[in-house]
Amino acid sequence: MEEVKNLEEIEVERFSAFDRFVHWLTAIPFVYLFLSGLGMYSPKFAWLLPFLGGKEFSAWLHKWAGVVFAVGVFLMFLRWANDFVLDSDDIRWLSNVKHYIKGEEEKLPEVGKYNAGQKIFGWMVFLGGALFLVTGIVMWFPESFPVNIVRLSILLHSLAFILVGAGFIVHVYMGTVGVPGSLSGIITGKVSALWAMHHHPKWFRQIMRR
Amino acid sequence: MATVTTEGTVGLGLRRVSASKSPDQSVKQADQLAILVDISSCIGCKACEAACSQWHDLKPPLNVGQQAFFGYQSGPGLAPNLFMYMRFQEEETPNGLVWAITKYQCMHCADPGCLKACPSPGAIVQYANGVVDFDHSKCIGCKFCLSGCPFDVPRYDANNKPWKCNFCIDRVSAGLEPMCVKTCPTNALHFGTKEEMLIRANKLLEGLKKRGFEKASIYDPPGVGGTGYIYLLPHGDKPEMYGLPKEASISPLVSLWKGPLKLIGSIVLWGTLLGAFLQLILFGPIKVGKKHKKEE
Amino acid sequence: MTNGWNDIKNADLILVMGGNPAENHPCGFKWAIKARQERGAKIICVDPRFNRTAAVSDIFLQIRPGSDIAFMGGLINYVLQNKKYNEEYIKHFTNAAYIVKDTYSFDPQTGLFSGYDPEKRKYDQSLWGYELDENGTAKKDMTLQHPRCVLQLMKEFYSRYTPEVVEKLTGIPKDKFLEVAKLIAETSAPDKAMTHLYALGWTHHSTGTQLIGSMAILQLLLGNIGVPGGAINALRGHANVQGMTDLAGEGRFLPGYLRPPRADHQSLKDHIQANTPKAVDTSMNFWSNYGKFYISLLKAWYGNSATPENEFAYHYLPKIEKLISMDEILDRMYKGKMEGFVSVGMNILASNPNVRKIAEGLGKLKWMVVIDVFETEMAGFWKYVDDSSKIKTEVFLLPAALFAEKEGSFTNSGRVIKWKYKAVDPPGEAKDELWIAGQLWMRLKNLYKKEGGKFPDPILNLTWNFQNPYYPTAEEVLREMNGYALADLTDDKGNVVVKKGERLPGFGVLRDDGTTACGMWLYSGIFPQSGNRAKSTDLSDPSGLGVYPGYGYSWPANRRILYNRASADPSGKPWSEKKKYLWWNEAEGKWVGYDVPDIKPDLTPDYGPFIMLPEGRGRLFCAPLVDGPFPEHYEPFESPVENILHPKTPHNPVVKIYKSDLDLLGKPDEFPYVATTYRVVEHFHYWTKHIYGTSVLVPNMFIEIPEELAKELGVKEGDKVRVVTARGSAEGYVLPTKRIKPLTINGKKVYTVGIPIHWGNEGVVKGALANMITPFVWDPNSQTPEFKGFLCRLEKVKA
Repeated sequence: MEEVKNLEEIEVERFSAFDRFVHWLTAIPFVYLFLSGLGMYSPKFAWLLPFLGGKEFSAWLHKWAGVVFAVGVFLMFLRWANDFVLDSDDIRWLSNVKHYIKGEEEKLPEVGKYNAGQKIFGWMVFLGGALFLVTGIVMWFPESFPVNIVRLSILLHSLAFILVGAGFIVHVYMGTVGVPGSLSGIITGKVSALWAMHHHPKWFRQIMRR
Repeated sequence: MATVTTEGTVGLGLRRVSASKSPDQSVKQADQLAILVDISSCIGCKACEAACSQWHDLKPPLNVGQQAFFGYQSGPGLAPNLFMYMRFQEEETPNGLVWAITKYQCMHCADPGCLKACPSPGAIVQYANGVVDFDHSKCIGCKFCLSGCPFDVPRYDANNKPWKCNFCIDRVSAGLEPMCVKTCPTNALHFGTKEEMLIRANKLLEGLKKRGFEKASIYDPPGVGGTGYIYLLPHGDKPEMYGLPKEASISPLVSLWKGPLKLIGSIVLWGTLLGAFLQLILFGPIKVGKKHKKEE
Repeated sequence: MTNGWNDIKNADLILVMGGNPAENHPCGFKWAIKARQERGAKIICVDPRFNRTAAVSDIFLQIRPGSDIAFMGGLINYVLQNKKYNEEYIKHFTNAAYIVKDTYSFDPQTGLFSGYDPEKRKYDQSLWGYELDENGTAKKDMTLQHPRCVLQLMKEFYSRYTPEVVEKLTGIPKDKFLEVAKLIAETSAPDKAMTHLYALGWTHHSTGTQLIGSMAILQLLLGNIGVPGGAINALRGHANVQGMTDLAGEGRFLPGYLRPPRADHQSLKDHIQANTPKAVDTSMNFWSNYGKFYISLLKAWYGNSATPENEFAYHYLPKIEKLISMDEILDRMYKGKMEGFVSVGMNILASNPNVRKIAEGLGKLKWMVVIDVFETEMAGFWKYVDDSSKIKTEVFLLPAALFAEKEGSFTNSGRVIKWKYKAVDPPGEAKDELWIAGQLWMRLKNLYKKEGGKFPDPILNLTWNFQNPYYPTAEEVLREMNGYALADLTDDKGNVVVKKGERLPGFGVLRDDGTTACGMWLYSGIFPQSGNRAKSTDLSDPSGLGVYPGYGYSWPANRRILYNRASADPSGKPWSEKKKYLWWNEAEGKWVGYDVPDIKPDLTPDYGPFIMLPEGRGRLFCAPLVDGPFPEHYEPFESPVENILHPKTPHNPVVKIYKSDLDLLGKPDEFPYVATTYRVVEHFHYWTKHIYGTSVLVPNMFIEIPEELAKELGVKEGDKVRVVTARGSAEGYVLPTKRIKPLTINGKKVYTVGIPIHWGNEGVVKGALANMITPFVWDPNSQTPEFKGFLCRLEKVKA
């Protein structure tokens, strides 16, 4: 009990200042992009736009937020692409993901710094970001591209939105309510040792050895 | 020219509104309007082009210099400050050389792709008389209308607002013919109800066929539900010669995006949200300590 | 136009040759479209380029510039050989039956008519007349068999123009030519008519007048003159150029085509006698009224100062020794023989050939006044002079009002005079020309009054009865043109028809005793006591033939179709029900119909319909033309090929050319391509480039060349090329086109290069003056320059 309490009180660094900077550099524009994109994508959410600065403004800022987002995603890719390589444990983890949903992590292979879900979301962001960027540029300057490329871009932009959007919902949920104790990692950079040992035991042992 | 009025701009009924439910059609009815372009009588004088710019108070681009040489054309095509232009194309045909000269502008589709693509409620409207018009106050500048258009028509100004022929809705609403029709010196442009224009076009078509243009036809593409501008083409088998797509319709990519994909998107996004919620209430958050606490 | 614009809708066949009405007369061209839509008329376009008229024509033939008479000769030959002419018509309404003097001859070997003097480069035209009997009446052979009757002479003359020869000269394939010839010949049927539309594409040749003569011959042979849907229709280029011509726009005329006094006519009597022809047949011989028109004009000008005692002030007018036409003016200027020049609404630098010569000439003037709406190239001519440092010409630019900024009348191509109201005030200091004229005149007059002068009478005595002499109104001037009675005018029975002081009802009441004043006899009747008929806008058309007698006023006498008596056969019955227009009402003993008869209404049908001629008959053989009574093909002065008909006389032997260091001509070895200049519909001369809205429509000066030539030269669309001729060069963007094909002329491949004219160094858009390169060669009858068909080479301009 003591040990547990200690573990709970001990903080370990999960994300460096740079990591956190890159995350929020990407995340803040993404939130704006997500909401304004939603407003433009579906008239049912057009009411969002006034809260984002108005219709015209949000359509305008959407493009520039996209640029910032693209820079963020690029930095993320440099930072995390290596970390997000899936291994055989990840595959087993994924095939038994139902246990994770139920909170039965003990029935899953031990997880390193990132679990397979996080890794996949990472790749979704990388690939989705690239797709958003390419199609977004086409949509930004539709007069400069063949019209069918523009049409395809709009379609793919929407598709990327659906997939990354869904991932985003999961990501936010897991980062806040879904897995308590996670949020501090991306805000202060620190998580409790207990949280680390519990959710990412392999990683925990690594930092412990150090 | 026929004198068709549309009961005043303020009272113009609407048939379609972008990103909105269809307006109630039962309240206000109007005849569908049309302009017939009789290519066989058009001499390509550009009086319509000049008159259009003059009526709309436009200052069209001045294309001078080596990079901007377009022969008989005033420029490469439409521009935010040029709502229509005359297109020139030389083509050898079995019947000899043809100099296809075509008045090009918004076609005012019965089923307008621009309106379909537009995400902003009310930024594009189709009046009850069939005229398709933009409302810049509601436009968000996303330029989707260009991708929706089968005829490559809308052009954007510095503020990303689209511009195009509005069928001189101001004149038409006051009972006048559109400016291009008014100006045409050879009566190659006719204005009236779509019904009248089709009757007239068919009569002219007969004459053309008698003159040996066996492939002559009326261009009123069904893929977009017909158009407000209909053309009498002497070489009807080759509309491309006149810069008109052979099969004009809203691109399947646009239809896919505005149709099935919207539904899929709703299902996926709402589904994900629902999934997260179910996880929360069924299993609860994935907390630290379930295992560790047991271990104690 | 011998008929009017609206009448084109009555045509069964529309031959467009020597013009491009779709581009240069788009509003009038609607009647051609109407004829096709409503009557199934065919439109045939013959032109060096597939232009915008060709784009809506049924048949297009590409012709080599300058070979039009060969084509026309071929048509005439076809009609004659195949007996497709309207025999009754030519027998009674033309001089086909007239017997020509045996002193007339034509040598097909030399290409010369009899009487040529190579020294003076002139013909003795007196050798070409008709044989007259003792009464002075022309001898005729109504069987048309006499070997020297006009028809037989013509048959022999044109027998050389076979379809094969036509092909060799024009580049038009024989079968295409025959297809068109057949269609044209069919219009000699009594219920059919062909109209011909032409403009500067025909006049701009060293044989321009002869060309139009050739069409007159063809149309007379086919019986297409004087009938609805027929005619030779000269399409005039400016809104009021017809009015300008009627009002003595050329030095060879006074208002109403009267003649200026000549040095050898030292008395009024001599002058009138010399200009009053004697009838040689049953002819109304309308010019027998010359004296009435002339004296009425002098009375209008000099009022009470024109008395029988002083020969109605005839001696106030200068008596010319030689006709001073534009070519002569420009040449004299270049030779330093002129002191000053006043230009009103003209850009003589841009509009005339060989700009360098003109610019040098303007630089030798002491002063020049340019009255125009824009700062024209002419006003800044020194920019076209190599060394402008020595120029001392003082230039005064007076800003004038544009057409919509002043009121007045327009006389259109169809002779309809229509009033035009002022729409807006002229900008800035720009003034109505009537104001400028009033000011100039009154100041000059005051100077003469104060200081006297060598001969002040013509200035001091000129009638100037305007309410504000410093600013006459257009209606006041029109009233003076219409004329007024200076005494009570009575008819044969002594009844007063016009009271003293009243305006005249028409030129029929003009007198040669000084009791009428009329500034312009042809327009008399436009402003009778009842008011200004140019302002009338009655749109009723009782006949449905587009006559519109109540719309405007058509000179002469509100007549819409000239020679309309010819719409009826020799006995006075309409040729056909379809072409019914004017006919002889036997019971009433007069001509009746839909229009004002173009003949004295009670003159019996045996009188000829061509009332302006002493024959009363149309001329198939036209002796008064200085370059021959029959139109003959001569090559343009610069031609890529020899004249296969008569190599010894390749060009018009009496053409007007000048000799100076700048009057240069090129040879085909150095300048292999045929060039022709023209206009595009988007621009009006050198004006519209000053306006943004029209400049954008076709902003760049371009050079049209066949695609094959572009390939040979290695140039592509948008490259800059330089057209070089013996005179100079002009640059433009090259437009390779399928619309101009290489032609095969007598076995030789010939390329045509097209050069639109509308640019200059002033205005919103700028470009080369096309006339930098055109030759200073002039038609000897009309003094029109040869802009169509000269030689050039092309050079690629490195970017």
